[in-house]
Amino acid sequence: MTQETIQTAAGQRWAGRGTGGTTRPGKRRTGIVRRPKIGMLFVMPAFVFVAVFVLFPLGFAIYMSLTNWPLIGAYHFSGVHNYAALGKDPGFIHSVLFTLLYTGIVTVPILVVGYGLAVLIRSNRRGSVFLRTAFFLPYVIGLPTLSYIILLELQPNSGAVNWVLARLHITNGATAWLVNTNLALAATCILVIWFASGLTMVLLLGAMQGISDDLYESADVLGASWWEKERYVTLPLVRPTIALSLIISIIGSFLAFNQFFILTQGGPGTSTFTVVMWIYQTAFVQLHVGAAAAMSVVLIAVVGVISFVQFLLLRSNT
Amino acid sequence: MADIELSHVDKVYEGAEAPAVRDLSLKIADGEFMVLVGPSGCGKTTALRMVAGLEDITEGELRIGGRVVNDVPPQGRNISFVFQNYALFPHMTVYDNMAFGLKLAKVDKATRDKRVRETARMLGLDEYLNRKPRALSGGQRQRVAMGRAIVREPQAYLMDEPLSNLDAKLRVSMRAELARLQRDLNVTTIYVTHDQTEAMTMGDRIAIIRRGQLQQAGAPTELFYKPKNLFVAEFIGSPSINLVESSLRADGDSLYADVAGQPLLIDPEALSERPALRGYAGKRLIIGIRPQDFEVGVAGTRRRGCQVEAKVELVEALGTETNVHFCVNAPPVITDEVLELAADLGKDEATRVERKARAGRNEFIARVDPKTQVRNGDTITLAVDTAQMHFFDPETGQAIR
Amino acid sequence: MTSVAAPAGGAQGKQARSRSSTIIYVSTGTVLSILFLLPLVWAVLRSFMQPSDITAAPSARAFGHLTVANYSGLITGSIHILRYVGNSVLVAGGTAVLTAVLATLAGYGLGRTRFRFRGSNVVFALILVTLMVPFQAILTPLFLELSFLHLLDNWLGLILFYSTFNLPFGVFVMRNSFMAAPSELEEAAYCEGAKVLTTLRTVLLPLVMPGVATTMLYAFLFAWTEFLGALTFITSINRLTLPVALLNVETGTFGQVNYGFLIAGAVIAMVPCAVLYVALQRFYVTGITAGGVKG
Repeated sequence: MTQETIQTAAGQRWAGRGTGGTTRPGKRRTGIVRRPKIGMLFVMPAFVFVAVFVLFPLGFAIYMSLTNWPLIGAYHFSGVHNYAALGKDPGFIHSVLFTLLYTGIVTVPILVVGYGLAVLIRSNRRGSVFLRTAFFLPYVIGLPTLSYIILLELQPNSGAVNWVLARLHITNGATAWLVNTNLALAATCILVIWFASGLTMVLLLGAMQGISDDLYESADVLGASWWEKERYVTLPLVRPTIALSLIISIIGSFLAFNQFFILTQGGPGTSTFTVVMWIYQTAFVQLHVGAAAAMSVVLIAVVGVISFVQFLLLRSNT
Repeated sequence: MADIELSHVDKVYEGAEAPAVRDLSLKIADGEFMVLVGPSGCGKTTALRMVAGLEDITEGELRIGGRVVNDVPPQGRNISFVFQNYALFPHMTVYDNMAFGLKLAKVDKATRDKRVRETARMLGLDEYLNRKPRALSGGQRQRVAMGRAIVREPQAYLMDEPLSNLDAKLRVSMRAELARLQRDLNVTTIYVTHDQTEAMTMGDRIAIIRRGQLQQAGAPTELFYKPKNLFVAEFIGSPSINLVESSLRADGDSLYADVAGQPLLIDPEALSERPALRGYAGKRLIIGIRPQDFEVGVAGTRRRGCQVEAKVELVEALGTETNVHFCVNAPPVITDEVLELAADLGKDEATRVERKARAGRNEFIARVDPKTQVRNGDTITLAVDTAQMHFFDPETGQAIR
Repeated sequence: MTSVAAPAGGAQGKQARSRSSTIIYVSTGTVLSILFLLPLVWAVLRSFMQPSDITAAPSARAFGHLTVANYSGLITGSIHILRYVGNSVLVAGGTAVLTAVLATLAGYGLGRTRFRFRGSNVVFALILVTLMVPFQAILTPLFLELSFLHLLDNWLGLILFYSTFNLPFGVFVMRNSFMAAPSELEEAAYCEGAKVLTTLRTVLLPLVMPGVATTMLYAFLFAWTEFLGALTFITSINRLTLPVALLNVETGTFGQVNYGFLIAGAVIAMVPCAVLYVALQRFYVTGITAGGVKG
């Protein structure tokens, strides 16, 4: 390590010996000494983790998808057979359609509600912090816990949901939410909107509060109404964040598992299975690991493309 | 075009102890260029924003064009506001930025286009119409902000330190251009700045504000030659006015001021203009002498009793003028105003003033003819134009008239 | 009375705020906060009701006999909920610590220019790639991998897994924190002869503490509320974390289905999250705005 030792006081002798003339490659004559090896050392553990628990399984998944591995026991290479079979797997197709339907239903409401919440509290008046905490709390508590709570209230004869609906004369109060596909979907969608709009709100809030007051005051002086300000000042400037929220929300919806697993276990029948649930089922219940891997790869590809688009969008905006 | 009138306007922020603006009464005539000036935090920007409608008026009345507009939102006042940071919409082109107000006012496209292009040409922006603000220089952005204000043909322009973000040279040239523009367009303008030079060069009239209260409003020369109080005298003029505590001595009909042991005869004409001065005979008061009112003593100076001896400490030869620094054998004048203005210039200046106070040094600056030969260490005689001396009550800071 | 409705924009101390805009704000805010918080408050109330009241038709009488039986049953009964709480605390805490350590080191290595090495940008990008790979989709290979490493049914395995997936966010935050630290301090320490790790510990750590706190908070909350991974990778009942334990309560694996137990358990799961979040809010919020949120 002598080359990196700095001889104190004199200040002339930095990287090793001699002054003047050319610098050695990778070393500078003044300024703090570069220590790329230490840098690598520090970054290595994190990288190793990622390599072991993300990159390797990724490759492994692709490999597995080309076999017909039964999880315990021998396996044979079967090429793209699993992928071809996907098209003929009604369960998988149904889960894909269901997931897409679910995503289609919740995405816009999450955005709209989140946007509305952000508009409400962005002006930092008294109580704004409380409201922000209140709206974001469901997200922090996590979907599983929220699902357990709602499970109780969706019970037909004892749950609060039916009680309220009966009191409001909307239904007769005996709806069996979780044993009917459409009702279960509806209830779950509302649950998720409650859960996720807080996140959208926080994202949009950050973007909105980054807009200088001057711009709004300027618009005021120029004669803009509230709606015109929103349309010509706020929206254009938060558009990148809206795109970001949408993508996060869509990816999250594609990967839905917890809420359906807890509320309906996929029932009635297999009508409320999402893609991830189907993959789980295929891999750990039916033990068709190869097929599950193929499904996973498809899922990864779709999510990967969407993520990549998000990444590009973000890059172009900073 | 319209006149603007503030009558006894107060502004108190919720939870604040002192009002931000106190009893402000000011009348700006149609087409006039009024400058609001004062140290940071004095309330000038608050006052401007109240005229714009960006702040509520707590008490008092605001009239624009004779109409009481206290409760009218900015949208309804037909004024233009130029922000310090320009507030250009970053996602719109220069053209769109300038056209935005007209679009909101539902002006038809053809008229809009004509007005925008005309204004752009006037300001030299025609090549930049399709650019976005981030592709413009500071000076160009400033002009777009001006263009946006002009194109709407409002009743008045309100400008909040529009030049303070420009570098010094640009600021000076923009100052002249802005003043010329306003004269050509002849629109009532209220202009806020903290730079007294800017105020003096641009304004038809200047209103000096301190801690929310109007100190004096008038033409630049009036403020310079007839300051109503110590604050105004100190704020206006660069280098600042020299202050010293003194006592008055009556000798028959004449009054002498004892300035650090040296007697100065007060010009009789000045005396007759300031009858209250006689009441201060035998009492202490504060005397102000502007640097310009010194002259290096020529042998046999005209007036007896109008000279001071000075030991030169520093000579600043600036080419167009020469500043001579010398110490006066009297303690420095440290009033609220002095400290406030020093603090406004920055912490360093405030510390300097405090240090000088503790050391008991009162440093005067005399501005003399550049051709005079003065050197450090010389003892010179300075003639004082006592007709231009200013007198202030040491308790109230008011000018003694 | 001005006719301007709720003005848009940030700090509002200036714009004329008409009374109507305040009314809209207060009423909307009240209604919405009730909507958002009521289920949670109600859940807490439910947890104190008799199980028989919970499964019966709702009536005001239920409030008459509130009880802590649900909690005492969970804690002292056959379920031993505290065991699962403890498991979750262990796993979440371990995740928080491990993530913080890894992310801080990596952030240090990536955030200070003197540690730049060839390929550091590639490594950073690869770490961020994790964000694009949903763990839900690599569950199967991970299962086999953990099994091979004898980390299945093992809290360490779960901790390693959770930490990995919190790394992108953590490294991002820590890298930003380190990049924001002034280099003079580091240089001063260097002149005094401090070695790299000492510098990190004594000089930089205090500066980047907020970033560390944010990373730990996110990691903890993630691990505490995570479900699918815990479900898949932990198979022995005794080792379950809280969310999965509650699933067993729901499905009656512990005996018959007891909704009282379920809701009490949910409240137990909920309270630490809420407390941590409310207490450490500023770390959470800055984390989100800093990242523009990645995950």
